[in-house]
Amino acid sequence: MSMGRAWRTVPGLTGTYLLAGLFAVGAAFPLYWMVVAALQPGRELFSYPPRLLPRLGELGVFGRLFATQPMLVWLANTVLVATGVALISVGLAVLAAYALSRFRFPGRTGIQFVLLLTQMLPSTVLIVPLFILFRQLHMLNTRTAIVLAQAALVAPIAVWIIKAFMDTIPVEIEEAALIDGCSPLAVLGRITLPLAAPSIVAAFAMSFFEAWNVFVYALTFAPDRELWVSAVGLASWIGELTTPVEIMMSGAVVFALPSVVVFLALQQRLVGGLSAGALH
Amino acid sequence: MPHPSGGRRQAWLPYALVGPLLALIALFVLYPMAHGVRVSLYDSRDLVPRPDEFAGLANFAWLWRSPATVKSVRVTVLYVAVTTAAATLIGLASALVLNASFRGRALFRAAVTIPWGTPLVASALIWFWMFDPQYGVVNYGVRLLGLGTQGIAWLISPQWALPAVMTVDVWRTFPFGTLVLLTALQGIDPDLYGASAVDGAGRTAVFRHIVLPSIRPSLLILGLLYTIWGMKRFDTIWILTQGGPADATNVLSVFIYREAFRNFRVGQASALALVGAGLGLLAAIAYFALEKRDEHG
Repeated sequence: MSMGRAWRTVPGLTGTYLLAGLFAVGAAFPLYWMVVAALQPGRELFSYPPRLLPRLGELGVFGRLFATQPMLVWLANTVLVATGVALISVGLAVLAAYALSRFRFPGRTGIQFVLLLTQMLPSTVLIVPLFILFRQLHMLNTRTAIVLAQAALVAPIAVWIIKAFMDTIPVEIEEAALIDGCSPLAVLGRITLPLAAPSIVAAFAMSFFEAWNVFVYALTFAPDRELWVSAVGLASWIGELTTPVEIMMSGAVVFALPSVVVFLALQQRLVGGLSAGALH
Repeated sequence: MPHPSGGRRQAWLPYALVGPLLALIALFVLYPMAHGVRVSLYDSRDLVPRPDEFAGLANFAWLWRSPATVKSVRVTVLYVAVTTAAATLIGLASALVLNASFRGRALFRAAVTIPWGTPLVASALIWFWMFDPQYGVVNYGVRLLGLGTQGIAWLISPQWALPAVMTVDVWRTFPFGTLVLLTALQGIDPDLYGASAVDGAGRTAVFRHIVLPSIRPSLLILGLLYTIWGMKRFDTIWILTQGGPADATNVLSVFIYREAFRNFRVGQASALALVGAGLGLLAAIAYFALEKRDEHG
């Protein structure tokens, strides 16, 4: 295994550490800076030169965040929307992934092309007609509108993540059950689903956090303040000049933390699914 | 692997399994797309076109003549080209470094890839503060490095706003490239390196003749995904600049949104959306052609 790294890009261990450190600091610094800015008394934010270390005694900022901003409402809306999106997209994706992985049928390639197509359009292309559609359906200013529109965009990625994993499960196990007289649906439920569980968990997390990000759909289809999701709420602080910087940054911390943690834990599987989807 | 037995017995089953997903996509992606084509042919200020407003291709003619469209297409192409190239190159460079084996590699990898897990709106907020003309850490860095004594008003300068929003995008997306290329690099057969060592090939030669051909498919996919994502980018740009100043960051997705929901020119916005979709499709076809040519040598 270690033979695979016999070829080095960088001469010497010191050079490797230096460059790896450079990339790591460059990538992580903005998040560090977010934490520093959140944990500072307001006046110190405007000092020169800037304080480079956070004051860990300033955790009270999070109390002020929840006391002065409707952050709890925004988070609750976000969790509702994200859960809805994840349940719908993964529920439908499991069935579709099973069909695409285990059956060869006319139209299969066409369907995969349509799934790919959904990923190529900017959401703003769809937003005007979707706005019209939701108005006709009397669904403007509902969280359901956000959920349905977002689920349709996220589900194809969930299909790829689950299908890529199902493709690696040997079909012989299922064959045996089929010969024993199980129906294909029973095979899916009793054998394939449990085996594919890791990919289903990854797809659920991916859908959940794609929806955690949802911004322009939420902004447009549910403009009522009490329906705002976190992304819309946080974005509303920019340009209104009344929300202090440390409050803005503490909000960003609360909003970013769950997403960062889950992506770090699952990144390998998510990356595999996304590039597998583009391949086929 | 297909089921040879199960597949034949119930030919309708795969359709029933894919059906619900397709219904969702048909209703909330395909139908709106088709409706968008219809709206683009009407002189519509309201969101529901009336028959007497039928305008034929007038919206497209308007777009063709409008300098704002020309500028927007130019900004979009520049934005997509630069962010795709930069994110791919930085992703490649960081993947090559992280491919070496050293103590603490997992920790470095986590740090490098952390931006990819950061929500877009949180990224926008962080960089908004970092780009602050007076108290922002970016200008502090500029002064520290002696590159200028006066702070740059990054997000409100017609000259710097585009590089600024591109920086946010590249920062956020390059780690995806790191991960994809790292996987590709670790999939290279170690024997290839051994053979080249025997041949006495130098570092550059190994990179050109062994590493690059092996990761070429991954680089292509990466380029395609970055191009698609670049065309779609809306959130960070809208939050940071709303397409300004003086349309300097008015990429198509922002332009469409402004036309439809600020200027209420829905017909024009829909025509613009089709132009955007067409550009996206062109990019996709170009990549697939490239991949095909690659496969056939």
